[in-house]
Amino acid sequence: MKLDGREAFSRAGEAARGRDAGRTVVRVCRGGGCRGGAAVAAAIESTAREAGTVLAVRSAGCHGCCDLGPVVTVPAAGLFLAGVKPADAPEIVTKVIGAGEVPDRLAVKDAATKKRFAREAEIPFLAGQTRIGLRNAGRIDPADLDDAIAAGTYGAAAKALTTMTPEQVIAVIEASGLRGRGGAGFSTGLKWRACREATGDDRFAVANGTVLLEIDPHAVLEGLLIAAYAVGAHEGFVFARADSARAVALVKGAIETATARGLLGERILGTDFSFTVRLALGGSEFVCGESTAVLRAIEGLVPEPRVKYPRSAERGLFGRPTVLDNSETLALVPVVVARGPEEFRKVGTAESPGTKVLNLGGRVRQGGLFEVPFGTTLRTLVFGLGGGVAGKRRFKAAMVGGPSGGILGEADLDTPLDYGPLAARGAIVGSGNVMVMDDHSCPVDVARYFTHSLAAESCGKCVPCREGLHHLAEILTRITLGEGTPADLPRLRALARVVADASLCGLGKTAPNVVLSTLDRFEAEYRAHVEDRKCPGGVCRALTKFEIDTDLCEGCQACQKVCPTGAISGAKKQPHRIDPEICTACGMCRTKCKFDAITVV
Amino acid sequence: MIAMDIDGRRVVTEEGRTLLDAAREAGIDIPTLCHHEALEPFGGCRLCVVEAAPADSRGPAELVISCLAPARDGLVVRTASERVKEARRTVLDLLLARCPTSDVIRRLAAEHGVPRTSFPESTDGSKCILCMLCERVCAKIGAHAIGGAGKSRGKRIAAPFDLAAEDCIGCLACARICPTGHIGYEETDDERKIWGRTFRMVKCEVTGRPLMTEEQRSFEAKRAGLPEDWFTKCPESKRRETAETIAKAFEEVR
Amino acid sequence: MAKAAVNGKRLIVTPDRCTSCRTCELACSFRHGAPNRPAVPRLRTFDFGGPPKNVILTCFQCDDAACVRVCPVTALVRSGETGAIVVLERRCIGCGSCAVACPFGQIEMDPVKLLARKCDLCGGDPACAAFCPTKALEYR
Ligand SMILES: Cc1cc2nc3c(=O)[nH]c(=O)nc-3n(C[C@H](O)[C@H](O)[C@H](O)COP(=O)(O)O)c2cc1C
Ligand code: SF4
Ligand code: SF4
Ligand code: FES
Repeated sequence: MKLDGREAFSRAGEAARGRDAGRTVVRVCRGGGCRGGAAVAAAIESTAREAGTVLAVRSAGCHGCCDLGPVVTVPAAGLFLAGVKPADAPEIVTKVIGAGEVPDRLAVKDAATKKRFAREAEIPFLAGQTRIGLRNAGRIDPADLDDAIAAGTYGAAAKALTTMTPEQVIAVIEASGLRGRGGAGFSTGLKWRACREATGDDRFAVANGTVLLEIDPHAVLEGLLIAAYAVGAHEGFVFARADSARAVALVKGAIETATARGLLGERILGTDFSFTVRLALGGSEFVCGESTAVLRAIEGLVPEPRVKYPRSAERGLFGRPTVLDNSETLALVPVVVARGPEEFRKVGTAESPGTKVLNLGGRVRQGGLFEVPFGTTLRTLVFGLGGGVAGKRRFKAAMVGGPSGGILGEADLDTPLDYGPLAARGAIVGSGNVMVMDDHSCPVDVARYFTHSLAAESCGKCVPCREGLHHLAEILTRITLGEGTPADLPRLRALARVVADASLCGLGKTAPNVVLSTLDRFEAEYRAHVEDRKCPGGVCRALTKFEIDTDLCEGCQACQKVCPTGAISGAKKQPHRIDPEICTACGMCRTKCKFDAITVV
Repeated sequence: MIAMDIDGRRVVTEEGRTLLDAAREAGIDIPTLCHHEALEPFGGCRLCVVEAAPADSRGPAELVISCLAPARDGLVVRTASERVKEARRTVLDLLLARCPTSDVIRRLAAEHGVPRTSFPESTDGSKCILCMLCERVCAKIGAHAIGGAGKSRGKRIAAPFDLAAEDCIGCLACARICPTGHIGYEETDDERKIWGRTFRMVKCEVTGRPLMTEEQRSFEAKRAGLPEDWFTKCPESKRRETAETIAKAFEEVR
Repeated sequence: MAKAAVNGKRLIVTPDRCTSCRTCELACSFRHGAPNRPAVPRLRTFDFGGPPKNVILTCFQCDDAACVRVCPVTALVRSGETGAIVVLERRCIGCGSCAVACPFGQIEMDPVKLLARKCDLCGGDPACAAFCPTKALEYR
């Protein structure tokens, strides 16, 4: 039934919140990353039925820590169980739900202290976050509108549509200092104002970016609705990658159910405002996420970026003023509207209020989505929340900003994660990906890898990106193969600078970050490659020789077992030896040695 | 009216003009490769880069492409600063590596101080710099017969599915607009071959000179709202015919 | 024929006075060519047996011009100042449609530049009229 006003809406919220009265709710995550959630849910349900326990087993969206999945939560008790298997169902029903006791193996082990925690509020990597955009991550079923409404979603939109003018909405967003989370950090309020003030009969509002769609699609739709109301758009699109089947299905369902309930579509919540949202699908190429490429893709054209004269806010989709926001930005909008700009500014920095969802990965103990205030240092992220570098290795570098981000080193660990400070060090906020590298990595090889991939992702429209990235990758490849010369280093730098300066879109402008930032920080390693023909990280095979340090070797034979070429010899408890004639420097042995005995010479 | 400082000169232009327009009006030359006034600006070759900053700005100037950047009052534009020249040289260096056999690129590169490329030369013999002028002119005419296929360095100009270009009208606009002469075609008085198609030529009824392809005639006639038999003679025959008609008319009046 | 131009002038042809001396063609060639490289003239005289039988033929600057209609890129535009239909050379793509479309043969394709060329009334000071010794061509 359509909700025809604010009152009907708040009654619906109460009904949704009350629907599980008298039952214990158990949520099993069904995120895209972890498998087995369905079987766990079924097992808990049937066990409870047999035991006569009244449960409401509901799905949950991704918590953002898929390596711990499937996760089962008991929200009423604040419990959070990780790595649950169907066989755990009896214990969960009797012990966990019945008695509030959590077996150790289901509690979350803190990566840094090895202590186990079962209360969500105590789990360090969760408790240490400030989840605003991810407020509903793992707490609602993204496919269930009632869950969303129960959590307060669409409340801010109802407030905006019924009590605020579009100008007031824009003023609130401006006052909050909200910046776009899609990469460039442009002021969302300014963008909305430009769109509202642009001349044109009709406008469009577009949501871009897939991650939040899988976690909380209604929050994104609510933000999009508020954006549309603010700029005066009556048609909108949610742009998702066609290959992320889960996000596509969730958004499709979310649009349908929200429209059926009168939260989208004609005369929303009984007001005069109408806003129709459609789903638009795009390719999985990196450049397909660039804003002008997104708009071209929605128009049915080849998704190539265009030069931003005029800006999309003035002439965007089908030539009409268009506001395009990242889905994380949009998920924050309702929070700003509901709680007010002052509240929003309480976290983050003065230049960048609020939080940013970061995706921590690579050689770190606890990876996943981390939402932290802007200004949080890289050290806090990697060593605090992420529990430090995995295994016994040392931190060497972190690539900050995604595939076109920059590489920061140990000396940069105290850099606040924020647009300005990161840019000053050659990195970006970008996609929010932070990839940690340990001392067994080679910055030259990392630069080669990303430059090579981005060269292939170049749409081919502009010369510096299309041709320049190719030659950067070529030079880097030669260096990692041991064919580089000292003259390559200044050439790399000069070419990378021009590619960054003269490319058309953000892809070409940011792709050289990895080259420039590694040259800045790891010049000695570049020199070792081109002058001494050595790869200090032990990664570039043509330049690597491994040796076993007989003082450290315990003769455990672990390395022997994994060596694919049989290059390692040595009896048990006796120091081992690598035959340099046979060794291909694949590095398998090094990953297995517990005593760090395998060294690069 | 908009007044700017381009290379230290005061240049006045109108709203809606680009920096390139304004510079050219003032006789300041900026090299371009993917720009053509018949077509929407594209912004692909990046040869036309200039530095621009508002007069009152204290930050670093922006590197913008003049073929698209709108003229704005008070803008300070530098078309030949070291930064601009470096970007241009690099673009030409890269294009020269891509198309070492193109005389046009060789000459342009040499003019800008790049006598030879500093990158490994491509050996495929292609002269295509992917300026997309051909695709764009074909679309502008309304034929939409050819376009870019693929991405990154593997992108190339092709007919759909690499088959004979079904929608091609054989007008040669692509071959003529191509700055490097990459697009080949063959021509006799009777036939024209391009994009895997062979076209029959319409010939002047008087002199027998080839005029255009039959497909082009139908296409142009339809677009211009003229009958097909409007396109039957070469200009010279038509002039003679007109002159004779006029002479005869005068004769009759007298 | 042509719409009233801002300058209010027209190229007036009085064929009776034409001696077919071809000074107009030469003047046109020099005006449109480069020094030492005269261009092909845009107007032609036809000798049908001496005055008063000769004919001078140049662009009529038609109202609903076939060349303008057929040009796919609007490279042929009417000058507000003179009323002449002029070729915007930077815009012309050399497809040649206009040359075939003009019923009077007043547009030809420049074989070197591969662009259309036609009478442009010399931007308001036609050389042909200025140099015609018999005033068979006048611009007023
Ligand atoms: C190569 C490239 C890829 C991008 N990919 C995405 C993407 O996947 N999702 C996204 O939201 N923005 C992406 N962006 C940023 C968008 O262009 C755009 O700035 C953003 O979506 C605007 O929203 P915001 O102002 O809320 O950040 C990308 C930009 C570039 C240059
Ligand atoms: S920078 Fe790269 S991806 Fe962007 S338009 Fe240029 S070629 Fe395409
Ligand atoms: S074929 Fe010629 S016109 Fe077409 S993209 Fe290549 S260089 Fe440009
Ligand atoms: S002429 Fe401006 S980018 Fe090519």
